[in-house]
Amino acid sequence: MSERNDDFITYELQEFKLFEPLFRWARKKSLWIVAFCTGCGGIEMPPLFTARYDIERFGMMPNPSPRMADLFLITGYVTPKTLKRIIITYEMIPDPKYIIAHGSCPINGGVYWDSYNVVKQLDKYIPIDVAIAGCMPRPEAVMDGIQEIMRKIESGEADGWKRYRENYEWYRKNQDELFGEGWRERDARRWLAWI
Amino acid sequence: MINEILLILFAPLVAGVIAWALDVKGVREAIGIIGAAIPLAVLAKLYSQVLDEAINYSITVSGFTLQLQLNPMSWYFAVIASLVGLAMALGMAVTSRNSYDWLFALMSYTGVLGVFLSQDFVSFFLLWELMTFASFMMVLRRNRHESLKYFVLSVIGAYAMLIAIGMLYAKTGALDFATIRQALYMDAAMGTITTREMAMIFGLFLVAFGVKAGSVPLHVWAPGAYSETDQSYTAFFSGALSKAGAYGFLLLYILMGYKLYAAFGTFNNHLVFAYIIAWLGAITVVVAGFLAVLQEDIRKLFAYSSISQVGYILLAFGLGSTLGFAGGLFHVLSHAVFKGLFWLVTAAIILQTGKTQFKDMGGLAEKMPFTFAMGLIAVLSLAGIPPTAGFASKWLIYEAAIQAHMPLVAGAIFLGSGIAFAYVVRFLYAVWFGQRPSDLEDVKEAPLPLLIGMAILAIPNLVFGIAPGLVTDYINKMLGGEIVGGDYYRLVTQTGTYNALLVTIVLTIGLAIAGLIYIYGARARKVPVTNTYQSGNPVTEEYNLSIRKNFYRPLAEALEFWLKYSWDRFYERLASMAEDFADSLRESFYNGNVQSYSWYLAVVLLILALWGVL
Ligand code: SF4
Repeated sequence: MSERNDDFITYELQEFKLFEPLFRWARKKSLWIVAFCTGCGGIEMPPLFTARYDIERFGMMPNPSPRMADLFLITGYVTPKTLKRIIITYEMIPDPKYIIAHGSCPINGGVYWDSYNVVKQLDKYIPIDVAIAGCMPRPEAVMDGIQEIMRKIESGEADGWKRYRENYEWYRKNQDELFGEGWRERDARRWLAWI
Repeated sequence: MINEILLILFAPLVAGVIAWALDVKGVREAIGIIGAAIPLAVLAKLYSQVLDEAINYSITVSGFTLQLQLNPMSWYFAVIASLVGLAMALGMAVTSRNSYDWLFALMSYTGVLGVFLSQDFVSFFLLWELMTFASFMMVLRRNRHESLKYFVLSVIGAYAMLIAIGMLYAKTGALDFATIRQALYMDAAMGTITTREMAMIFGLFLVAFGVKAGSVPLHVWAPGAYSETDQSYTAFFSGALSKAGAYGFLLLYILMGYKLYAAFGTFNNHLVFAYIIAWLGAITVVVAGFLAVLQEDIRKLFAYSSISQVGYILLAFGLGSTLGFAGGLFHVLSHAVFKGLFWLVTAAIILQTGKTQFKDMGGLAEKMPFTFAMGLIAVLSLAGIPPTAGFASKWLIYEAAIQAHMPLVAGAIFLGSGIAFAYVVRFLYAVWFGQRPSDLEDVKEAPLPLLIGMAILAIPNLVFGIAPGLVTDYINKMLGGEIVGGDYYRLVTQTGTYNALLVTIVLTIGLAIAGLIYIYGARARKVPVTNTYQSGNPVTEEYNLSIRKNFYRPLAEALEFWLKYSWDRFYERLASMAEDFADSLRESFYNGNVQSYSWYLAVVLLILALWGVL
């Protein structure tokens, strides 16, 4: 299937090119995280938001809806079953959107390098902007990653959402190789027999 | 002029009879629409004449003098009824199935106009009965049980009225309104009619008008009767016919307000009898509002909503202040136009989809955009959102309630408005938005006559919303005095000002700015309805993602205790008890045993002997 997936919203303000620096500044100062916790990092996320480390001072907010978010934290190993949900959620986030991957698992499988059920290289399926190594990275490391994504947003290097759009065929091919073609419909219909 | 009143009154009836007799498809619709349009046209022509002096007509039939009069107040009510009547006829042009519908729909139109034009109790009662009978026949065609419920309650109301009229006649010796009014006015000082008798007359009239207005606890007929008939007709049934009840309450004030005051006195600076009416209205608003929220059927929802909104009118009249009357009269107009509109929208939905339950509908806004726009206007008006007529009238009622120092009653209307918002949201959500069931894919836009009918009712909603002064101006003239000040666009009362034009302009500018931000903010792309966040899970059309059933389940659970008690069940039980009693009477007395009949004879003879007759 090579047709383009146009289920997500494009975001290009041709009319306001002049204001692009302003927009970038505004974007980096108010990153809203879609609260989607995978793997061990799920338990390391709350300390980030709470009183000790408190990333709200960077203007970051955990938020349950992908439509309102622009930062997606992949906080640990990703199984194929979860990856389907991650892809669907990622495509639902409006452009521009950024991904930070925590820990070793999303980068290369981590301790689960020989598991049949962990996605070894997440970057093959969705574009990662910043990866933070460690198992599990300390909150300081995560905050360092956040500083990094802010810098990249400011400079325009955080362009995962553009890469995803431009290389959609490639990403789609990898996804389909893993799940089999038409996986969305197939996965949705699985439950119909059980209703 | 003599002929004009007769023309207004009988044009619908004659047209109905002709349509029924001819029964040619196409012709009967045309005749019906013309018949329904004539009263509106004549009334519009008489507008300035009526304000100068009332137009009278009287005729003597079998010893009774029937008096009809077109005065500013009856003109106001009649024009509202004929506006809704015309819209109804246009709607019926596509929804009615046969000439039977035309005959009785137009007959009830005549009845309603007659109730508003009558100036004596004979014609009032006659036309009241015509109206009841015709609307009963409309329901009878579809559902026997519901129609009988309506009929029995209406008969109870009508005969309560007859007894009250009889008592008034016995006391005053007159049947025409002017004389009765004069006599009761005099009697307030002399006090020949005792408080007990007055209480009885008042109670009987309350029952009579309460049934038609559908005030709790006499509302039980309305949900069934409003739903089990041609929905275009319901636009008239609930939009205009229920106003006959409201008009009756007004009549109470006109005829015997002073005497009732003298008889019952005051309570906390409120007239006692008005206080009763206000509370009847307040309870109706809240109870019917909650019941409307919990309905699963579009017709039932609007039926309860109609009861609730008429409660506002009663409540406003019950406040007893002139501002209250102004608000109530304005609400008569706005309720007629928005509720008529709602029923026409319902008629269109039912005509095009064939479904009435919320669980079968959804996502129709794309398929019926004009109907949706009309429905939206009705929703805005009912929920009281400026700039619509519903806002202006409700605002006046609030002002009046606050001015009358009735905090609990005012609280009831605030609560009622909140609930009203809840049920119109239910309607918007379940019918227009969300996922469309697959069997509604080939639904089409409503047919043209129905759309014209809707437009006829939608325009006043907006016009009188932006220029509420048009209505209050007339109400001022009608009630004689500067009750609501201001100009066409501004309403000024003692406690507040509402500038509808300013609100409209601000709203328009706000919408324009919001629109600019929306258009330039991001390039939006249309996505399919299944591209929605189901916690990241993939979904297809096979999943029902819209809540179509039990939308307000938590509310139902919160109200569980109160919902255990139902007037409906109470009346059903009462009816079955009466039936059982009749059965047992028949079985015990008419038992086929010759000896018991001789015993009856013996007992009667014994009684006569004891009485000393023999
Ligand atoms: S990298 Fe370590 S901490 Fe993170 S998900 Fe994998 S195993 Fe867990």
